[in-house]
Amino acid sequence: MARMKFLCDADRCIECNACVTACKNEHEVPWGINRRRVVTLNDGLPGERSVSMACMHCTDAPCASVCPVSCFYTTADGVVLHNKDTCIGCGYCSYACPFGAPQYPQMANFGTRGKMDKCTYCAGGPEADHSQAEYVKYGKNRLAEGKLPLCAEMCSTKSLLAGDGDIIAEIYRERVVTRGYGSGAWGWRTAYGETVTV
Amino acid sequence: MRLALIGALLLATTAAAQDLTGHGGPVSALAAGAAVAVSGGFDGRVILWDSTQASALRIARLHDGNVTAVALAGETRFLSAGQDGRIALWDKGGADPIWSTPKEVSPVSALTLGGDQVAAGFLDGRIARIDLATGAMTLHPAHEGRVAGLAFLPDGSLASVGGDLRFSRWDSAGTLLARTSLPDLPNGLARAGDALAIPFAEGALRLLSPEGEILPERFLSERPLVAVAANAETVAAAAVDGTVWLLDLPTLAPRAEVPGGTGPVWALALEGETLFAAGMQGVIRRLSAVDGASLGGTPLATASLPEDTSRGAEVWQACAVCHSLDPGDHSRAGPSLHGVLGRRIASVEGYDFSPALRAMEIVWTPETISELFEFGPEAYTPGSRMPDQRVGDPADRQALVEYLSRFAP
Repeated sequence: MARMKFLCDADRCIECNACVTACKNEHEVPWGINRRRVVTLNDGLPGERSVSMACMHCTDAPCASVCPVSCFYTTADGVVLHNKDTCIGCGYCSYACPFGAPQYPQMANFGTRGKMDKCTYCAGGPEADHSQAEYVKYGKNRLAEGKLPLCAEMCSTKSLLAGDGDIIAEIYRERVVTRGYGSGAWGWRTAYGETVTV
Repeated sequence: MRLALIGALLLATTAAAQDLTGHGGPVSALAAGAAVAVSGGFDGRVILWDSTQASALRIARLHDGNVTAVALAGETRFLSAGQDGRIALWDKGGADPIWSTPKEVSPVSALTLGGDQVAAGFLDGRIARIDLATGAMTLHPAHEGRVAGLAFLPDGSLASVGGDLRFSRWDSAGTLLARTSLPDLPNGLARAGDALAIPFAEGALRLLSPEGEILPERFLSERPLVAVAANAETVAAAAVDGTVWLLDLPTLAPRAEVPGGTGPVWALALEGETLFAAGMQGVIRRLSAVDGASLGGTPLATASLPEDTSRGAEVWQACAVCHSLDPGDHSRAGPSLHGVLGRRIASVEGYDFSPALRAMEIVWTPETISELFEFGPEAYTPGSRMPDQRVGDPADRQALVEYLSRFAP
């Protein structure tokens, strides 16, 4: 079984925001929520770098460890999902997440405890694959169609990689060896507890 | 006479060392002064404590949902802010807040007080400046992402850190004075002597100069740091696994480490040689700021396990954070469910039900409880403050009803 991961090569991201747009369009993500965002560090200064941030589907996910109603679960592919029927919108996962992934709807009064929303790795949710209920709550289930997350598929510079962790780590290693530098696997160690050794 | 004096002294000493217990669920926010402390939690309550006597002076309720931030404004007044986006100033006496701001579409994620100015940060990146005397509020955009921490600096400017991985400084009119990038996601901000202490999601604690220059940094944990408190000599930080560190300023040399194991610590407050720490456990623990020793003596409890191994007990876990099964225990966000079967909706004494629920005619039976979770509270009991939880599987709903009939007769 594959262990699905994201790798953001910050040395390649050109801040085009195609990943953000692709995600929002593919899943019809509501107003006020972006499951993925691009953060630019040292904007306009030497050393400027951008990183595409979303749920990294951590190996030992902090969000799951703090959820008081245990609404998170990890699939056989290593994708961290949550059950919106169980989520009470307490917000604690947003404090625990190292990537700022959990989002909350802004249309309604938050006091009514809107459900948390986050990247699903295009893997839907606990409902039946490709059901209307799954689409409405979580968006498309591309993984069940044998496809990878659209954000990574759309990335024009292949800064954002998605797929089995061993395979994308190998791609990144080859890349670093070829170009002769590399410090861009942003968040890899935080998410997966290991470094990409080159 | 002498015995009475010794007895009184012992009582006072014992009370002074006690942990603060009273919240019915996780505690999210803390602030401490010389003789009082204030806390807020998932039960929606704001509690002003006499910290020398370990007793509650005032319990206030205003916010819908979690109370996310608190601050002390002297010994008798305090501020609270919540998931509903409201900010309120309270006095020790009086039924209502002195002032409160309207509900916002975004929760408050940070709150600080500087002289006669209150600053609040929102999850959507805005900062509110509020006049302490009148409650008059102005808002300005500040970060792309959650405002993770705020602190007034000695020159009157306001420092903020946000989910856009930026440190910013603002003047009183909301004009940006300085901005620098941060190496990782910040999770708080505290004044630490002449510097600013910031806990990061990658497990590092860093000191920043008021200009945003990174001073000493120390990697404390593999787990995200989520809380910080500091004074002129000491900085304390806590991680999601509940571990708490005490470090010396300005070197960040580790002084003590208090092991976790009882879930995350969401809030810290330093006052003199006492560190208050609170989180998922619901108890505000009193630790020595010198060596981390427990002063309060409340035994560390592990997460309560269901009383049986049935599927119903597993389903109940999603209810247990808001509901107790003990008779009359309405300290949590929702009422006690003891004796719920056969009871009319919103009829139990001692809990402040919403008007919408009081107007309904539902009687809780196995069938109506099952319907509640089949259709969800938003459809079945509209106007309820209950989160819209559903249990999709009929077998799980049946298991939940059976569990309630066994443990909430």
